[in-house]
This record gives sequence, C-alpha cells and structure tokens, in this order.
Amino acid sequence: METVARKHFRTVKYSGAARLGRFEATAPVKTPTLLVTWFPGVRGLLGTENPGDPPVLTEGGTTGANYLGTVPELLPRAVHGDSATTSRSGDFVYFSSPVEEKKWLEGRDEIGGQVHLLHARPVPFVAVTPESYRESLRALRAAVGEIHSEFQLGGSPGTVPWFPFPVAEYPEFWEAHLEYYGSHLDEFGGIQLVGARTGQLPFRKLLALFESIRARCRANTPLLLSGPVYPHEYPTFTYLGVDIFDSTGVLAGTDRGLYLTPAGVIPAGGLPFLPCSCPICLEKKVKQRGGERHAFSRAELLAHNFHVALRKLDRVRLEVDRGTFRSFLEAEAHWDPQFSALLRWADAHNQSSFQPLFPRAGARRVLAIGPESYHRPDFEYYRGRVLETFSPPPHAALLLLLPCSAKKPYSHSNSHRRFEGVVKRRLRSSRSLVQELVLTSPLGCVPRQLENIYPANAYDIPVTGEWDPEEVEITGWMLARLLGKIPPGVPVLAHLDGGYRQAAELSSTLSGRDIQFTGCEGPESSSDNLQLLGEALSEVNLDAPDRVPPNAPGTLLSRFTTVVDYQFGAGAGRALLGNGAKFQLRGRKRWIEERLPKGKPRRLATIVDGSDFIVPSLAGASRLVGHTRLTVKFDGDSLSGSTLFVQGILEANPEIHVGDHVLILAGSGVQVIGVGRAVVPGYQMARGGEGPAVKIMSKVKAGGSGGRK
Amino acid sequence: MNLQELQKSLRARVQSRPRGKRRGGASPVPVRSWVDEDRLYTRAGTSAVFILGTRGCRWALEEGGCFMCGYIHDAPVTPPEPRELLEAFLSRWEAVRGEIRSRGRPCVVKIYTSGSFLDPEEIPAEVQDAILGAVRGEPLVWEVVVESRVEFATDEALSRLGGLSGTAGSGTPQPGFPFVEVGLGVETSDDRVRDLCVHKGVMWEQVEATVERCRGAGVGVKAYLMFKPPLLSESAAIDDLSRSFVDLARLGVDTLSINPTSVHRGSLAEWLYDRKRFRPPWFFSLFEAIRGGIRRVNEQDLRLPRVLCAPTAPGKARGVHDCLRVKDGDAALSSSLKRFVLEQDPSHLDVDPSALPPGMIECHERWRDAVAASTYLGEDLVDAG
Repeated sequence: METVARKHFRTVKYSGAARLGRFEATAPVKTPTLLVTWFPGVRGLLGTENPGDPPVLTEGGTTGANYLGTVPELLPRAVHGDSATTSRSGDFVYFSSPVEEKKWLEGRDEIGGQVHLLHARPVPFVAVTPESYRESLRALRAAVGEIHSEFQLGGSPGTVPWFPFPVAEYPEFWEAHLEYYGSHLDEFGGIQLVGARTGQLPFRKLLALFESIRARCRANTPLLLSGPVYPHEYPTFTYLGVDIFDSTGVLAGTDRGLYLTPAGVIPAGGLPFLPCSCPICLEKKVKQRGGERHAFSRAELLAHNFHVALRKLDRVRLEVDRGTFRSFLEAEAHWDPQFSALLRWADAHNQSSFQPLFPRAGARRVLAIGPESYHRPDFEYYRGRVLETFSPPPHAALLLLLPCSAKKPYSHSNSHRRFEGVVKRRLRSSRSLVQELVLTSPLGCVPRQLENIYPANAYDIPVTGEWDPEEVEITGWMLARLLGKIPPGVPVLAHLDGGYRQAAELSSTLSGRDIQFTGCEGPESSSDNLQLLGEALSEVNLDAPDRVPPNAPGTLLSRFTTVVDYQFGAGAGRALLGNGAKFQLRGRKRWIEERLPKGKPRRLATIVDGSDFIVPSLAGASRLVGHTRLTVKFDGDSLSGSTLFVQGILEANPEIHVGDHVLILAGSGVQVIGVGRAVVPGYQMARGGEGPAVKIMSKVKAGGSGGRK
Repeated sequence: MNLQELQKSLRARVQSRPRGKRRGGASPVPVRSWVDEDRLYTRAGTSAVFILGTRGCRWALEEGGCFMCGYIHDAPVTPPEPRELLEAFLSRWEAVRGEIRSRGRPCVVKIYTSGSFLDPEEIPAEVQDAILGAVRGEPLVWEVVVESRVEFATDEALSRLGGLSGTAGSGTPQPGFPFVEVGLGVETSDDRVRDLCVHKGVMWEQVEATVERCRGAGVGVKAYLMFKPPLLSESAAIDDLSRSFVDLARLGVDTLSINPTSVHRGSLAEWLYDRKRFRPPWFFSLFEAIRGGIRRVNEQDLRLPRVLCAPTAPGKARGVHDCLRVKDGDAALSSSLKRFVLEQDPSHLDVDPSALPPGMIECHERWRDAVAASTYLGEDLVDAG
C-alpha cells in the first residue's frame, strides 16, 4: 500500500517528557489541547445542533454560548454519528456505530481536506472483566481491519484513522493490541486511549501503559485521551505523553455535580465562595446577596467546568513552552497522592525512558523545591553523566570541596569570589593545580569545570542549611564515587559544615578516602572561616610548577574539555580540543577556534549563549566522529533545507535526547554532512512516520566535497 | 479468576451467611401466591402468581448461573419433598381460586419457580402434571404461564403443556383449555451478548429450535429479554434490545417480556455495581429501546408480539431509574410504563420531559449526554448516573 505523508502533527518542543505540538486542524491548534466532543449538553451550551455552525450568541448576556463560542481552543470539534455532516477540514469525526461509520466513509469523497476519524466502537462489551476486555479488543481489531481494507484507509491523507485503544486494568491484553498497532503503523494518524484514568488504573499500571505506547509509537504521533480526566490531572497526563484531552472529563464532572478547579474537584452544592472568575462565576458573585450560597444549573456548571479545563490547558502549554514543566508538575503532584506516587515511581523505575525526553540543556532557572525533585530525570542524568565522563585532569594536585551558592554559576557568587581570593593568595601559581568540587543538593557534586552547564547553572532550591537524610545520601554517594577517580596521593580538603560536611563524611566512609576538614563552623565564607581555609591550604604542600600545564584543572582547556566530554561522551573533548584551541569568551558571540599554521583560524565550535554547552562546527563535528554516539545517519549524501525529517533517517542513536546537538552522517559512510538539534528523542527517530526529527544548524554545501574545511 | 468462577464465589459468599442475617432470606413457606390486576392477551383481567419454593435453577446450582441473577438465594436451603410441594400448592390454589372467582374476571395464572418449571429434577413430571391439571380445571383461567430454560422445553415436557392450550388472542378460550405460554429466557438475540454479558449457556439456534417445538406443541412463547445486562453500555443496550425485538418478532413469539436489569444480591451485576462499573438502565433508555424496537418491527412489517414490562425495583438505585433525586420523576415514568403495558399503546412511551415533574428536563439532558458518552467511549460514565 502506498504511503502518503501526512503532516497533521509535529512536535514543537519538549519540556521534561511533556511536549508542545502543533496540530493542523481547520486552524492550527497548539497542543496539549481540548477536543470538544459533540455531546448534546455541548450543543445546548453552544445553542447549535451542527458542529459546523457558529454558536448562537445573544446580546449582552454571559450565557454558555456567549462564553464558549468565543473560545478558540474549542477546535477541533468532534461530531456525533447522526449529524456527521461537517465539511470542514481538520475536524474529528466519530460515529454511533460501525454502520454509520461505513455510511460516512462511502460518501467521504465529497468531504474536502483532512478529517480525523475516531473509529466507532463496534463492540458492546464494557471492559470490566478480563474476558469482556479481551473480547472487546479482539472484536475491535477485527472491525478496524475490515474497515481499513474495505475503504483502503492505510496512508490515506484525506481520512486519517486513529488507533482505538480502550484501556482497562488488564495489562496482559495490552501487548497484543499494541502489537497490532505496531504492525500497522502506517495506517494510523494517532492513538486514541479510551478510559485510561487515575483511580481506575493504579499508577504503576498507568505508567506501564504509557511506557509500552512510547516504546512502540513513532515520533510525532499524537495521543488523544478520552476518559473522565479532570483538569487538575492534565499536567500528570501531559507528562505521560498525552497531546489532546477530550471533554469527557468536563462532562463527567458536571454530571457528578462537581465544581472543577485547577487544583481539584469540589462538590458544587451550595458553595459559599467561588474561586473563579469565569463569566458564570463572576455573574454569580455580582448577584450574590449576603452570605447566600451559590447554586449552579447544569448548563452553568458545564460552562464553568469547560472554562477551568481550557484555562488549565493554557497553563500547561505555557509551562511547557517556558521549559519549566517538570517543576510545575512537582507542585501539581500535591493535589493527589496518586500523582505524587506516580511521579516518584517513574523517577525510581522509569528513568531510561524518561531521560531522553528531557533536554540536556533545560530552562534558565529550575525550581527544585522538595523531595519530588531529588530524582528528576534530568538531575539523575546529570549525576550519571558526570560519573561516566568526568575524571580530574592528570595535573590535579589537590581536591578542594566547597559548598554551593544560591547564585549560579557559583563563581559569580560572593562566597565563591571570597574562596577564590583565599586560594589565589595562599597558593599563587600552583592554584591552577587545584581541582575544585562543589557539593550541593540535590544535584550532588559539580566539578568547577561544569558549573556553567545545565542543570548546575540553573537549579534553585530553598536553602535552610538543614539536609534531610536522602539529600546527604545522594551527595555522599556521588562524592564517594568521584573520590574513587582521584589518584590516591592527591589530598582532599573540605571547607564544609552542616549537611555538606555530613555528606562528605558519608563519602569518606563509603570510599575509604581520608578527607581533611578545615574545621569551619557556620557560614563557610565568614572571615573566620576563610581564615581557617587559608591556613589549611597553606599546610598542603603543593609544588609550584614552572609553568602551568596546558590542561591543568583551572584552565579554559580543562573546562571545555570536561564540558565536551559531558556533552558528547568521554574522549570527545580531547578529540575536539586536543590540538590546541583558542577560546573567545568575551562579547555576545563566543566560540572556540583552532590556530592554523597559516591563514585564518578555523572555528571548531560556538558556545551556546548562557551556558558552556557547545555547538560543533562542521570541522569540529568531523573531529568528533568516532568519539560520540550522538549521531544520526541520513538516507543520502547531502542535505538540503533546514529540517531533517523522520522519513530521511536511516539510523539514530537511542541515547539522543531531545534538544541534543547531533552529528548528521552521510548514509554511505562516516562523513559528517551536517550538525543539527534533535527535536524528537533518538529512539523514536528511526521508526518511520512523518514530521521533523532534526533542525539542521549547519550543513555541507551541496556539491562540495568537504565543506568549509 | 474468570467471570463464572467469580459469580460462583459471590454466590457461595451469600450462601455461607447465617440464615437469619441474609436480608430477605429464603421463604420457609414452600409456596407463596398473590392476586393482582394484569393485562391478558385480549383484555385486562386479573393475575394469580405462584412462587414455588423448589431447589432452584439447575444452571445456577451447577454452573454459577446468569450474571445478573440472584434468585437462587431465594431457594430454600432444604427444598420441600415433591409431595409436600404439591400439597402446599393445592392448598394455596384453593384459596386463590376463591379470590379469582370473587373477582369474576378472566385470569392469568403464573407459576414461577426460581428456576425451570419444566426441569424434571426441579419438579418431577407427575407433580407438574398435577399442578397444571388443577389450574386448568377453572373456567376463569384463560391463560397459564410457566417458565423454563430452553433446554428443558423438550417435546416430552411440552406435550404435557400443549394439546391443552387454546390459541393466543382467539377470545374466550374453551373452559378447561386455557392458553398456555412458556416463558423462555432468551435475554437477547445476540449470541455474543448472551454468552458474555449474561452467561446464559444458551445459543440462538437452541432458542429457534425451542420456539419451533413450542409452536408444534401448541404452546405459546413468552420471550424474556434482558435490558442492559452487565458489561453492556447504555447505548449498546438500547441497540441490543431494539434488534432483539425484530429478531424475536420474526421468530413469531407471542409475548416479549422486558426485564431491565436490577442488581441482585450475590450476582456479578452486584459486584460490578459495588465497584461503580455497572449502572442499572435509565427509564428514558428503556422507553427509547422499546419504541425503537416497535418501530423497527413495524418497518419490517412483522407482527408485533405483546410487550410486557414489569421492572423490579423501579425508581430505586438498584433498579431501572433516572435521577433519583428528582421527586416523583421515576414514579411518573413508571406509571407511563404501566399504562403502556396495560393498553399496549406505544404513545405512552413518548415522554415529554417538560410534562414531567420539575427537574426532569435537566435529568433528561443528563440522560442524553450519558447515552452520547457511552456511544463515544464504548462504556458508561458509571458514577455519573
């Protein structure tokens, strides 16, 4: 069957597993969004029977129609079987029965544009028991297969069928259903999950469900969640990968008599206060007399609940767009024990599938307020990556442990300036032999060289000076493992107190390494304590070198070698910068270049603004080949355009995170033909499908043999 | 654990409760009876209902029974001896006959057990004969109804009922030859639904064959249809009942008796209900389904059987209901339904929500959304009801 590219959905941005997408409907809609299912109650609110009609507005009132009719997020709309007569493109259609669905499909040529088809459920069985669930899925697959072959829906760009996945708490049948999906990937434009919700599915199963889906679906496959999910649950499901919610939750909440709020649900009977400023609630407040309690008609409650759902999704989109979604989610997780449990469980058990969805370069400022932050995937990734790629430069003669500072990067803080001052005065020319390591919570340890990369330059925590046992353990363990990388003769000096000191002591116990403490008490940067630091430094006998070795810990070369190792893998820094490099760090544009015997110096990399992460030039990228796993193989030998699409990728490394800078290799060999930024995780790139995979930042000019070499 | 085992264990749990603590409990009286107003084939009359305290349904005893059924818990722990049962019946019959005669109107006698009247292991053949013989002798008895699972409606068993019967709708029957109807639990004409949702253990082929046998034996057929068995969504249930109307009308049954599922003790339906995974059907759905069924039958130019419906626990949370909070709302619908059954006039099912007690307009909206949601999702938003 011929596959025609569909371009109805693309991922715009990831923020810690949550994604912002663009869904091409009648008008483009940003996801996560709400699909307004065409229930009679909604028709009543909008005052119209046909979804194609404009809502009936009345003069001056705050009726449901007036209010909802002006909400752009209501698109795309879905239609119910009996009135599936819309001719607008980009809409969803669904039908009351397979018979209706077939009837519509027979006449579909008359319908222009793209229509998303949610398959009618042909099976009457409510999936509440294993047998009924298995039968439902089986019959559903049979019916879908029959309809697809009869109407040749596979790959049709005009009618995009979605894969129906009714979810019940019997994971033993999920696999078979997903297998069907996996072997018919080209036929479906998205996945519709029906009935997945917290409460019904325990959080472990819920996680497992989305894990299996993620493991099989392609990049740029939109996920629709149909089920009674309330607005305060949207962040959790967005984190799991949902792109579109439908209004079932709003309807269910209304019928259960619930006043939905962004933070949870409250029975709507006789509320004395209304924490909402939707038109419905405002009007009630204006009209309230005395301490009268508020009563809602069903239509009013429905309109209010829609308002809450839409505003909540605005908030979710905003947080994803700002790159602050995970911190937002951690705060939101407190609305329900299930959410917190899910988050903690995912952090404890599902790191490998979540980490690639966290950009390695995250937001400028990341709030890490409580225990939910300790094991967030980007933090876990940082710790693991440092342990994997960092080792102190061979010339390091002293390991100095310092406390962190609120200001990032640390060296810009007052306390670290003072530390530097003391080190400089006491050690003079041998100071560049000192490997500094900053202890912190919850990140663990930050080598001085890495202080200006995410997340070390971005996290913000409530500082009380008190560490809880888990914080001590996280940092203590990480330090212990780093100490194992320090040659035995190198002394370890710690200028730490309080929780920092506990962590260092723990690491000493764990690693068997002696740590000498300066004996400071209270604020480490107080003048008394600085005095102690100075005295301790004087006691360490460092031989002053004749000249500073090129790769000594305090040098720029060491700093960027360490960063490049972190970014592209151990050894990459040496490969890129080993021939000598010149660093241009002043001004707005920062770069690293290589002096050539004659002619202009050659640019190896630019440094991304705001941090020390680099983007290799084509020349730099060629040096990284063989030293990094961040590569994708392109189906061809030269690139054109600004985007590499999923269709054009032969191979992509599964370690690639979204947002990573990757090398684009020619399909025929190991030659670099471009450098780009991944917009979807590597493990989803090579699965076929549609949509952008890599934003090309530089490429070898077509026809040229080696580009700007 | 599969559903059948679950159902069995639910039964066992109820049975193991001490007798005194079983709500309702099994009647120690071997035969109960009452007389009431009812619809006969051609006219309104009286009905005399007998409940025989037999050992209960063989399907329930051996296979766990149907998923919505809890009648087995009404069966006495020690069933009466056949002779005892017959004596108890005959003595009740004397009293009831007096009542029938004093009312002086034609009467339908309904003889129910918690199982199958025609199952010889439940009621020995000679006792069946004796009971029927006694009833048949009374001229005011125009109709007799017994119930049985289809597999017990054998030629042999039917011959005991048939040959005695008049013809449905033929006016006044000859004295001593009432019209005999056997109630068969057909539940639905869809095998998948009957198997998976009801666990009836009966296939449509068997139903067809049995109906054929009944006609051959001159016995009328009253087909019981389950409206919304467990595991069926609201909209699927409406569709299922309407379709079954057509299939059974085509088969030529005499009566359709609609049973909206109510939640029985110790049944799978109750287990689901307790977990908010089953909601008994809405009255509005019941009306729509019956109307739809009648419409479809008429569209196909089939003869419409008599339609009966006497729901258990109407307007209660465990029975067919709409919005429990609306005062008299369900009662109004319940009486519409009664009028429909008595007059066999479908216009009684055309309800205008605005003519119902206040609050029912909103309730009707909720129902419309509930049905739409169940269509869209394939299952009910259960606790929304």
